[in-house]
Amino acid sequence: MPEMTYSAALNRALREEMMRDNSVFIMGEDIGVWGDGGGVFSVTKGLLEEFGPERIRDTPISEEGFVSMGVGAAMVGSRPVVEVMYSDFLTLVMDPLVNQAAKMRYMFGGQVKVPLVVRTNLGASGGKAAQHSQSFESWFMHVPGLKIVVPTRPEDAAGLLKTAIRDDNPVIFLEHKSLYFMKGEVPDVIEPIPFGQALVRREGKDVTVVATQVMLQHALKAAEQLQEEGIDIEVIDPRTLVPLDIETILTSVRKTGRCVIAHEAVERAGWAAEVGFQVSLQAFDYLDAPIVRVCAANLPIPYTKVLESVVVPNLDDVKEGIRAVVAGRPYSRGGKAIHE
Amino acid sequence: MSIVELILPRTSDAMTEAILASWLVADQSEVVAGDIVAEVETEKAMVEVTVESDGFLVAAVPVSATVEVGGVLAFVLSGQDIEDYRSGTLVLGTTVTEPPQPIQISPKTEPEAGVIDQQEVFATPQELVGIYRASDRALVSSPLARKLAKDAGLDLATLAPGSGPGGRIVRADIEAALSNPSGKQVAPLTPRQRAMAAAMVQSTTIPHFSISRDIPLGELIQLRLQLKRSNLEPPSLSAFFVRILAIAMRDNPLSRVSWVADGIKSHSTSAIGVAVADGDTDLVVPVIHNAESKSLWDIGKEIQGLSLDVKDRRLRPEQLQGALATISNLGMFGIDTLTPIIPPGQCFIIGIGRSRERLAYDSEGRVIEETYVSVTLSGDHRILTGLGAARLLDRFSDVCENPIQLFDPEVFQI
Repeated sequence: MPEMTYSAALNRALREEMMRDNSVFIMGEDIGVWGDGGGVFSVTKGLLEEFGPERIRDTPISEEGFVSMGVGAAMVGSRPVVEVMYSDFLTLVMDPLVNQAAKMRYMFGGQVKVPLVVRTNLGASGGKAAQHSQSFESWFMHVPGLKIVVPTRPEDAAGLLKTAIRDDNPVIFLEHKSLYFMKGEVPDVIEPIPFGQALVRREGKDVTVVATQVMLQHALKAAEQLQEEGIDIEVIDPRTLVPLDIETILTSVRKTGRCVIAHEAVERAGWAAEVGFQVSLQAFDYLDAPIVRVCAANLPIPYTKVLESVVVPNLDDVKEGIRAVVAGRPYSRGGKAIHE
Repeated sequence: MSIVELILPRTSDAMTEAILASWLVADQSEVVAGDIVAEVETEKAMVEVTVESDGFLVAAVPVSATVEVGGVLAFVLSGQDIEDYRSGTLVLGTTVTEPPQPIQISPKTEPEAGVIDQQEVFATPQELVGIYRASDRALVSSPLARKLAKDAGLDLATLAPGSGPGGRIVRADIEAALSNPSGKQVAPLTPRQRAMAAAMVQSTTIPHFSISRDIPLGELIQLRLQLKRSNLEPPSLSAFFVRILAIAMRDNPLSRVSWVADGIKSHSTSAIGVAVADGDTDLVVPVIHNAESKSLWDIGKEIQGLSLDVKDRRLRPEQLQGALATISNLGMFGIDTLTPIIPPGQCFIIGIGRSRERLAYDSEGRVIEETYVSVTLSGDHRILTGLGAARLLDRFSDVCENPIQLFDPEVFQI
């Protein structure tokens, strides 16, 4: 199987979908002409040359405007893939996404559909500071009508992107800044991967760890290192948060009796709470210890890398969280905002 | 009764103890949640201690005493309790056995000098520290521990305190109790043990008699060897015994009976139980139904399958019911002879010991060495006589000594 970066895998998926269906087009800032071409992470590299400016459209810095255009274009028969450069800027597109895209089909009684994909990237990547490092997947999980995809591996990114583009519903496709240059095996033929199918990345019998993206990488590393302490960890990659494959998680917790949920988003009201609650509701009798979540402290992400590494959870925090659940202690990364 | 302990909180990461500098309220005076009641001196600073409930404060330590983090500083008593305390009927003692562990926030690197004090920023979330208060429920257990205890019929109270934080009973405690019942003086019965005990007591109502016979095994061993040499993996000796017993029972209808409420019931088929050990303490007897119409090979496979089902605890109730007779083989454990107990509802049970060698005479009067097993049949004397049992055992022995009879066309299949 060929090896390629996450970014190259996305590029391939976009290309193949655009070839397969003429109604697919891409919009976003600096995705076409800027620099070497292909956007800040090279995801759209070569596409402008191949498909032309009608289908690869550079936009002004006007997120609310061009995402709204995407909603409208989707409603009249196109399949737009709109890129928002950093997930932090999703704050500007809340109305088109939440009030329009998520609800159009419902409010119009099914007369219209919104096959829109909004691609963006989550997460801290070393010194981009509070407004360019956030992880907002939890916000959108709270909006009925939106699907949320959080792929970690290049082959998942490609397969899930195809499914997102072919889905007739609005999909928020959340990549991660630190994963774009991660390499992985991608099959010669990329099949669309169905939503709502989690993968057990590593089998184990002592603790269930549910994690996404960079936290998933940490969890797998923690699994190797904690094996020496006699702790055998099962690691689950949900791949999509809406729809969520809760059954795979529950099956695992019923086996291990202990659950740790790790995400880079802020701890307070993050999606770890939603999944943790589902586990406590549906696997109550199987829990041998309180559920642990390893998340970012409830603080804005600092600019200096030293302080960023304190707020954003890392490998040591994941290991601490796992040790806590094995001991039955509650665990939290807490943090009070300075101005409280 | 409501007594709340006021414990010394950990106010900085490295703090292990503090000195009680002064009480700010009079002993036994009334306090309200939020009142500052004492000052303690830590290595770094004077820290105020606040009380979190309403009531009457009774100091537990004097001024200038050194208290460890988590140690009791005072008690806050309700109105009734303070009366009892003053009149001497209530005696106060500390019950906190373990200092509360605050949540660990681990700063990974040293921040630059003069920058934000991380303790300011990462203050311990109070709502989580509350979990560690000595619970006013005596029995604390994880949901999983409760479920496992219920399934095993264990009383949680006998397992308290557990090995989890704050004395929580956890899965490990249930597992330890189940695998080492001798750790406690009286081990509660598991459902299986209870069932076995009830069945054995019921068996004592059956009038038992026993007869024994030593059965030469030479021919049977030879037959199995020949099968092996021809690359036909023979079924186990147990399977042979079940098949042979089925033939013996087919030829002895008087052995195919069971005692029922209003008389003696005859059976046209032979259901034979095979005793299987499950660990050191449990005995399970899965049943081979219609043994007389099953081939030796089928019986062999069925016994193998049932052994796995026993190991995986997958047996269904119908697999344990309906036997007319049982075979119990303790040969592999070195037993010479056994006098087995008839399971309730059955006509007889056959106990088989280990194979041994002895000197014997052959048909020409020469001394030969022969391999044999001792077989003991215990029968229900209400429905089987000594003579009936002897005839059955005779036929059983006959087929064991001349296993070529397994080819008898009267027998459906080998």
